Amino acid sequence: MKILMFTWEFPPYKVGGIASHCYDLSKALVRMGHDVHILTYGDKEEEDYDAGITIHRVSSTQSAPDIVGWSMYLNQRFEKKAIELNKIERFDVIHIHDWMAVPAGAGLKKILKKPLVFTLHSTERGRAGINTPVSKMINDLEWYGTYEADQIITVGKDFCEEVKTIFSVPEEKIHYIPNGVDIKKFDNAKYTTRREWYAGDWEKMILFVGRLTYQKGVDYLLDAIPKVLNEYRDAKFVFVGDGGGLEHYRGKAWSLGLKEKTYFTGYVPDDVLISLYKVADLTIAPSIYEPFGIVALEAAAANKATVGSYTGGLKETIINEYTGLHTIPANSNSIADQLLRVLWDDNWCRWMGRNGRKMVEKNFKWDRIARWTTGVYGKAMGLWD
Amino acid sequence: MRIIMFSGKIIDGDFVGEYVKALLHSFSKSHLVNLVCYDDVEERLSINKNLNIFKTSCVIKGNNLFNWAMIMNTELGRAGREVYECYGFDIIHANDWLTIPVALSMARFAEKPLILSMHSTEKERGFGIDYSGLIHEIEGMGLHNASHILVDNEVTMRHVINDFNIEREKITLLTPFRDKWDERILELYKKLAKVGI
Repeated sequence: MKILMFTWEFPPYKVGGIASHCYDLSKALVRMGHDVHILTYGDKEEEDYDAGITIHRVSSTQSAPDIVGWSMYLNQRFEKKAIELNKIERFDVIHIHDWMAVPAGAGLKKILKKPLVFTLHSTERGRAGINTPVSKMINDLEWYGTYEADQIITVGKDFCEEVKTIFSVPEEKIHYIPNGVDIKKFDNAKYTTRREWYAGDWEKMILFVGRLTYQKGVDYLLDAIPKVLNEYRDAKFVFVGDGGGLEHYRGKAWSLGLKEKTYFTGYVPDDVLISLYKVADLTIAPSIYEPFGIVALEAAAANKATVGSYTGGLKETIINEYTGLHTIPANSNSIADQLLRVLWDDNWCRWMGRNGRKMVEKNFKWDRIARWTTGVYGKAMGLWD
Repeated sequence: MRIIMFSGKIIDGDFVGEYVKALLHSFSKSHLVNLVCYDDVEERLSINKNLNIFKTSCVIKGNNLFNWAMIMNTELGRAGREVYECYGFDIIHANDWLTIPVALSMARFAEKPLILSMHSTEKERGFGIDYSGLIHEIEGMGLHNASHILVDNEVTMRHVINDFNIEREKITLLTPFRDKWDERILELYKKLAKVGI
């Protein structure tokens, strides 16, 4: 198949998880013999090749007053570029990711009459709520994408139900396909960070990875830390990520008297992150809203257990008491209790980490996910029901 | 000749609305004209054997005019494709920034010349809104990629030349409703589309 994929972020430009998702999925599709073209944002218009993927970058504008205007302009550039590319490549299917690619996807579906597949990684309703005209517009674009797409992919089972309900999507055009983990990236990583930069030898290192936002449950985790430390003093909480809340949450941690027991790294590159997963003792994912929960899988790929909320995708990416422990969402007592259970039992913690690794190897490999994705492409193209 | 014209909503008494209506009336006497325009409702009208109107609507209201217009353009694209399949076209005529995105896409898709009527520029209108910069950039995209540009007055022409660096030869100044302006536009169509030469 000739696949044209739109994503506003693609390595080396990375903000959230969509860039890595598109890169890993594209590599797997190429391994299956498909021809994958990525249309994405760049500082200037250029063409690039990486791992068999053809990457076309177009620039956007400096004049936009907000993110929606910026992406609308970028989508106009996408649309024009795609029409030109299609004259040569004759794409079979267009695959768009999240609301930021919806206008171009919908426009091209109408003009080129190509089947359109839309992957939703999260919704505005879950990320920030529909509180402003901009968030209302983003919500409308998400609906528009589900309306225009021939087939929809969601990355979580619960999330699939959420999308079906809030956007009134018919059962027959929506699918759940999880994210995957590139295990080789973990096994072949060369960079090794020094654990002592983050925690003392005597301390258990508990890793939080993600945007520092309310949605990720950072407030509840910070409230849980004093309760944990009351019973288990030798623990250090390392927060990796930014998302605009770094200063706020660092301030909150310090005001709770946790300056010595927390460490905020800010954004770190992939190689450092992988190394942090490896040197940590366990991972914590206290999210309130989590469409997928990639953190638990990445931790598992590094043989680490995760304590995470029983919500959204984390219901599937953590098997309770086998690859990690579930907590009650938005409940700091539950977080503290479950962390203490793991902290007091090293062997159990390591055993769950090993089980997690087996689970990832079995169920979350990109080659498998790419095969499922081509099944959806075929359905969009009318090759099968 | 087969013409596809894109415009915002046709409002009686509005300058652009009257401009488009006058051209449709004139051209459809001897040529096939399909108008694809914004509207509040979805409607297909066959006025006579030479004139069809594709009124296009969008359920998304948008958080501002610019974002709404960009989504409207995807809907205009659907109607544009319908015209392409049902009637075909030799030339594309767009009016102002509101229809530049779809007109550019259709021109690239069908490989047909695009004439862009710039009735005014955002700079002339005073840059009064926070997304004026985006409108200005869309205007630039249209002006640089159109095959030819029509302007209604000297002021707009100066803006097009000075603010967007468009060469003078690519612009025709025609005062609407005077001096057989419609016939001169038709001549321009024929020249660009290489029809009837």
